[in-house]
Amino acid sequence: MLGNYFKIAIRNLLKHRGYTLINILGLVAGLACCILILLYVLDELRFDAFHAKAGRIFRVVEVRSTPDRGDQHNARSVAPLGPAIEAEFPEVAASVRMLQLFRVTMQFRGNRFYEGDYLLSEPSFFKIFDFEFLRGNPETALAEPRSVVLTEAAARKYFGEEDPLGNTLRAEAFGDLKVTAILKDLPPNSHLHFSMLISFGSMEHINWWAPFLNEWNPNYRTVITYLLLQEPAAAPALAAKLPAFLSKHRGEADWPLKDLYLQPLRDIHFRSGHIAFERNHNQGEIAYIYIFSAIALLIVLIAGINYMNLAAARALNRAREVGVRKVVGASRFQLAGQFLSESLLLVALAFLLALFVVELVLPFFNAFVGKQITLGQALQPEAIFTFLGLTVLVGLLSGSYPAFFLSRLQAVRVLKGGAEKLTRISNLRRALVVLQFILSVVMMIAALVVYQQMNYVRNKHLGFDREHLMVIDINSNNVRRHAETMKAEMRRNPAVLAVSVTNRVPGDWKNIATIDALPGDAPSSTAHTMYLLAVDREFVETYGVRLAAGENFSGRGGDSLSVLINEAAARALGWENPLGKEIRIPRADLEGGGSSKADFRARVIGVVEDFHFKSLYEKIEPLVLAWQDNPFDRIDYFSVKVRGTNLAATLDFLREIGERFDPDHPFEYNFLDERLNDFYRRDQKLGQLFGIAALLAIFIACMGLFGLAAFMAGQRTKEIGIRKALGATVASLIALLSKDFAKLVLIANLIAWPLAWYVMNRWLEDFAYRIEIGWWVFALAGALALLIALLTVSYQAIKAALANPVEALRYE
Amino acid sequence: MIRLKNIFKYYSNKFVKTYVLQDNSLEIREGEFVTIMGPSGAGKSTLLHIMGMLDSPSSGEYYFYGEPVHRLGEKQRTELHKRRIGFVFQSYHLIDELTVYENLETPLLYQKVKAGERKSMVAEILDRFHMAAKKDLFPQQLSGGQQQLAAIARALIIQPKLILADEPTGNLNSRQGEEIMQVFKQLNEAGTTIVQVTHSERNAAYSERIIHLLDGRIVEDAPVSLVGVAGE
Repeated sequence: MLGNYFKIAIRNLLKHRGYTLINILGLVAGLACCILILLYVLDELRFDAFHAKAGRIFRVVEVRSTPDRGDQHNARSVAPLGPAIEAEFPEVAASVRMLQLFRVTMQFRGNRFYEGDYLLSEPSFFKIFDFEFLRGNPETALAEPRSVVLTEAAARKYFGEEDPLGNTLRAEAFGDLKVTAILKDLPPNSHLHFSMLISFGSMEHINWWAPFLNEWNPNYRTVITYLLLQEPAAAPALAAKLPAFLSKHRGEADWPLKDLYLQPLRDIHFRSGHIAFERNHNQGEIAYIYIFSAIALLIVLIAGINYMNLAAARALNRAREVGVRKVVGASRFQLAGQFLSESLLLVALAFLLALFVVELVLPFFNAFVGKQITLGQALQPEAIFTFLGLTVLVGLLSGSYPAFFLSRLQAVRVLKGGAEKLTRISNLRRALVVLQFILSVVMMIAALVVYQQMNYVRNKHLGFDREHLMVIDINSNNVRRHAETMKAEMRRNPAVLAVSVTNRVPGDWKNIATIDALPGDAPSSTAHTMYLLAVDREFVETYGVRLAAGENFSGRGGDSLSVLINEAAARALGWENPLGKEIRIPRADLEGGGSSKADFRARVIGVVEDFHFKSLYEKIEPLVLAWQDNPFDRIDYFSVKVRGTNLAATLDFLREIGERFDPDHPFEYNFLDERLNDFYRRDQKLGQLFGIAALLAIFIACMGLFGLAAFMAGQRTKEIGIRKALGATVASLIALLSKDFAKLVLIANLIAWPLAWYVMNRWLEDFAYRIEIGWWVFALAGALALLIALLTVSYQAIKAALANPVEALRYE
Repeated sequence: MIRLKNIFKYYSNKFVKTYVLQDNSLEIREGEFVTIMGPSGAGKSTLLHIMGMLDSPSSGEYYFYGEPVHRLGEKQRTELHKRRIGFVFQSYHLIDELTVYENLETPLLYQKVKAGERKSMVAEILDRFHMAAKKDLFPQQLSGGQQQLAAIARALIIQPKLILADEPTGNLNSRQGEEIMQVFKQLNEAGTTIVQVTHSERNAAYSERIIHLLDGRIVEDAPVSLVGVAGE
């Protein structure tokens, strides 16, 4: 029976090649797109799943709360926490601490590199996590102080062809590290990522670190702690006991701890956007998984609708077959089965082709999403299951309407030749076309709005000049000491317009120090949290920041008792005229140059106009510009304003100066505007994705429309013949035939506009600074959809209108 | 075998009811060869379709082997007609995408006959109609007469008790038509009940009984010997 169905199906497909092509093309496009997105989603969902005990692993997260900034989630905890929990709670099977520190240089013979991608950890690391060992023993690899475990790639980088095992790696700050094991390169979907693991004990000889490793002082939160529980269900009960446990150890200090909770390992990748100080490689966003999945579903839906429409259009040709089959004894059920198996066959065929297409575009896709997905490795049981399910679902869904519709035809009537009258374009099919165009228009508008916002973000004046600003890292104290000399040397080159040194640069706000600040005479409880930039006299000039009032640092001494503030800070402090006022910064407890524990007091000498030192997702917050020599933070970057021409030569000139003052470290630089653009990369990709999806959607929808138009033209052959015989012009006939479809697209627009308006406004709300969606966006998307639709329909309309009327009427 | 009581068939739209059949009662016994005649639009085909359960009457009763067809659901009716009734149409109605062999096989598929059995049944009927050499051809590759022969073979493959033929020779030349009627004659002699609709007096002459329809009513129902056949 099935064989018979398939035979008929294949012969039918071959007989009507045009339809088959349209149908299969639409399905292939839709399915390929859907498969790609599913591969991405599945890959994301597999994050951290390779750990055998993944379900029992938790990360400790702390929540603090301050009136200014609300809840702050923090992945770091005090160092004694993990061992104490493990000792006191029997439901905890193991704990491990990880410490990530500043970059150091590492060296084996001539191979010297900066290494920032390392972690310090304990032997229990390998009890909890499953990273594959190529050589060495997981039990002992991190047991001794100054042991190091390398990944394959790191081993190759430092040791080349030599055997790393038992060799030593010389590391700045740590001394000679003995290589005890080699790991297979980490799987790409691991939130923990490192090129080497150094044993925790290696810190012990660094005296000034002792308090950070042993004290419960809440300011010494240094390590990331993971727990392995006996069973996952124990987590909530354990978390409930933690606050009491903490206050027992920390005493009743007045620190603003609000909560301590256990984050499941499998949540870390997706649900950590709000957690600071974490280590999270290739962090994901669960919202994007939802958006992607929705787009995949929509596109498949559109392709499915298309199939339905085309199949219904073909009903005319199939009606007689249905009649004959009914006469020789087919039941409705059997006929429905035939059409369903036919659509399943077609979808399966399209699916195989789609896999082929996917294989072709996968490299581009990988580059786009920054993954290394391969079809071979992606086809694991759950993926195969999903894809089979998808094929069957699409097959059944798209076959359901023809199956239902065609099997209902009455044998007698179709055999008499009345099928034309029986298969009008039903309202359902009109609704399907409308739905397709709604989806297409919404995606088009989404793509346009994202594009516009990204354009706005790229071109908005940030309050400072971001063009041709080169940022050079300061990696040694020697450079720090000679910064002024270096600035003077750099300026000798006429291509260098200005040079400034700062602790951080705009855009780097996640690492910008925050301080509490208040008017000199106000009580400490009224303090505001503000960002602190340590700058020099040239900062204002280099960045093109404008002074709203007062003056710049003098550069002649005495500057360390002065500060500049931005307008937001003036507002926060409630000062109409801040000039000459005293600002107080209560406790200087931040790491850095000074050791003073007394309050810091300085006079406001100037106010700068607000500039965006954060991304445009965030409002401009209060900022204090302190002198470069201050008790809070030290300088870390040169910012060099250069001429846009002959950059290579300027770069060589600057590199020479950098390497002369710091021969031990590689010269590091980047361009500020590129770094600022990184903030928006994800949304830029989202915009591109919408664009591609919109193109696909409209392409597929038009194929459906094409089929529908062919059907309709066929149906109205007689009407057209009569009209022509009565003297209708070709143009009027084309208009007649196109009118119906134009109406459908217009209705789709009316529904799509408010929908898109709502959705895109929700998206824009993420940005503190955003565009208004202009009416022309809607008009443009609508006009495009209409134009494309009419072009599609016009082919059929013109063909029908040009046909010889005698031909049309002879059939009667 | 067939008993129709007060059969009406009408189509209605908003304003008018159009009667196709009006109050017809009729009995056909097993083994009869009946011809339905009448001018175009008299309701011949509709009557035939009602007998074949492809259409249902608007009112009236229909008993097939004593079964009240008018009270059966669509599923039961399909079950009944697919085992007992074979159809032959003026325009053959073979499925274009299937070969002769596959066309003949189709009814058996719907009766869930096993593959082996299907094969021998199709082979047997192909032999009987001398079409074995044409079994792999598609309908368009056959002449009209051959197509109709294939269609009759398809109708016969289920070994029906009743054959309903709607102008079976309408599209054929006279020689081909003659052949087809000969086949019907033999079938009837072997015990199959046949009801045909035709305009042709010559074809009617093959039957035993002629029913005349006019404007939806049976106006005459008599054995061929009494009616006589014009032109012979």
